[in-house]
Amino acid sequence: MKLGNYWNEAELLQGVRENNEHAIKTIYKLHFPTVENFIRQNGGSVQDAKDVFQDGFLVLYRNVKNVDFILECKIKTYIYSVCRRIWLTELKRKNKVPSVVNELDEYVNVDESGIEEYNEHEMKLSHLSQCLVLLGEPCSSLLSDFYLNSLSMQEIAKKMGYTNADNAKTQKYKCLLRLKKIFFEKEVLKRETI
Amino acid sequence: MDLIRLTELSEKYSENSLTESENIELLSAISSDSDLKLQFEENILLFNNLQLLKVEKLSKKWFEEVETEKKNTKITSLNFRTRIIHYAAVAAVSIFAVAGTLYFSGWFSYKKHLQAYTQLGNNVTSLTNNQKSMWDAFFSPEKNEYSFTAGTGFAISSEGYIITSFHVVKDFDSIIVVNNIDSLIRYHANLVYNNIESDIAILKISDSTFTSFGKIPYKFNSKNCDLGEYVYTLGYSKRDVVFGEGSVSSFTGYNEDSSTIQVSIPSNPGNSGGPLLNAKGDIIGMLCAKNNEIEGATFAIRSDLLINLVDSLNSKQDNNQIVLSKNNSISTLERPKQIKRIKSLIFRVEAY
Repeated sequence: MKLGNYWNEAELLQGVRENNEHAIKTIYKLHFPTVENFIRQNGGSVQDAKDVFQDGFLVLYRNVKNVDFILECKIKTYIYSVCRRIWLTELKRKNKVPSVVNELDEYVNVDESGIEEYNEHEMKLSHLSQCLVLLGEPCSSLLSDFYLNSLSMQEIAKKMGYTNADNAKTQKYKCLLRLKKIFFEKEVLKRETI
Repeated sequence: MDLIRLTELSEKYSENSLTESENIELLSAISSDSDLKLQFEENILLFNNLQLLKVEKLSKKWFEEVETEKKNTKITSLNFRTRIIHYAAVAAVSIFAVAGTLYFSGWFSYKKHLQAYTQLGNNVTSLTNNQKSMWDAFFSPEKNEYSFTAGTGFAISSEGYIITSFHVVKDFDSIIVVNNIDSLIRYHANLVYNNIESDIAILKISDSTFTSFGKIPYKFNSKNCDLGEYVYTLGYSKRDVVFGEGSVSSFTGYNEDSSTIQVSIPSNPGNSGGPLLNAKGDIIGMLCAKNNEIEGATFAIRSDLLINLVDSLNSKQDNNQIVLSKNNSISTLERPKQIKRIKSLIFRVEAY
């Protein structure tokens, strides 16, 4: 476990890849203030900044998970650039393009297609979380506990009242099959959401 | 292969935890069946998205935690700041209180008052206090006649003990007591006891020609004197003895000092160490100082303090006891006759 800010860039990226809480918190501590300043200087609130940073972080995460990805600049610059792009796109969407963008830091160009891709991913994620809710009990709780809350199968078995972890596991795969069905069949979802 | 097994293997695949045999099982299953392959790809996509969803949720939580931490640090630092302000306020109030108390109790004017207090040694100061001036006094052609102090002292026992003010003799090592009333008498005297705080010195005549003072006609009156009581003194404010009279004007002395009393006798340098007698001829004190801002305010050390000092001196030594006179043989005499009896026991104390 690393202490304080004594992470170098590569260690931080590795930490992110391994879902290390401390590394991710460190990234937030180090880099959120710049993003926050940028967004507040350009017509956003603190909450906007938090949302944008969250999205920007996920972009980084998704890329870092990809083995082929090579970060060509500092993490700070990358996150700032991505967040900047997201926020400018958001402003454009709201028809509130600022005449002068107050730049606070150097940035690299993030192309629009990257953002569109990101938007697609975002939609998929929110779709998935909706599907998880639509799944109904006990599948919804079971899958959420295992995949999102990182509970072990034993804990879940105990919590949900299964006789043993294996039963819970079988149940989990059954639930996964149902989830997959509604996740990939959008009509079901549409019908459900009306 | 059923879908549940496929899901299981897909999950392991996305976690990179497939064993060799499972890998072969999975590969053979999906390569032979395009539908299974589609299912497998969907599974992987699903797991990836689940993973992302998890990270999104976790990072959101962690970012919130960081914010809370920050807020808490802010709050503690704020508390720290308020605490400092409180301490500063308390310190300021205490300083103000202390300063105010000192001001109103006259501490700051204390120094000024001190200047009003003059010890009555006939001290021509500044020239006298150091060795160099002594040297000059002895060896320079024009001898400085003021390189000494003079005060008054009076006999307290027939063995040759004389009491005087310590400030008269304190800077000098050669002490001579002089009395020229009946005939010129000069004796050398040694300092046998001194008390700086109460400004008292007891001398003993050291000359071998000295035998005895004879019977001491006056005694120390240890009882409290009365306010307004008549008192008089004899002192050497010049080379000849000078009579001064007045009344007890206060039971306390300078700055309400209870070891001294205040009398309304005009006094001058040289009166220090002079006896303070009441109408009966009892010693009720010894002059020591005056207030030069108040006219006729002379201070005298109380006689009971003198008696105590003599007693404590006696208790410290086995022989050479100082026996104070117990009787007053002049109480019925009129004042000029009293003075005639006692003036030969009142000395001019010169210190060189």
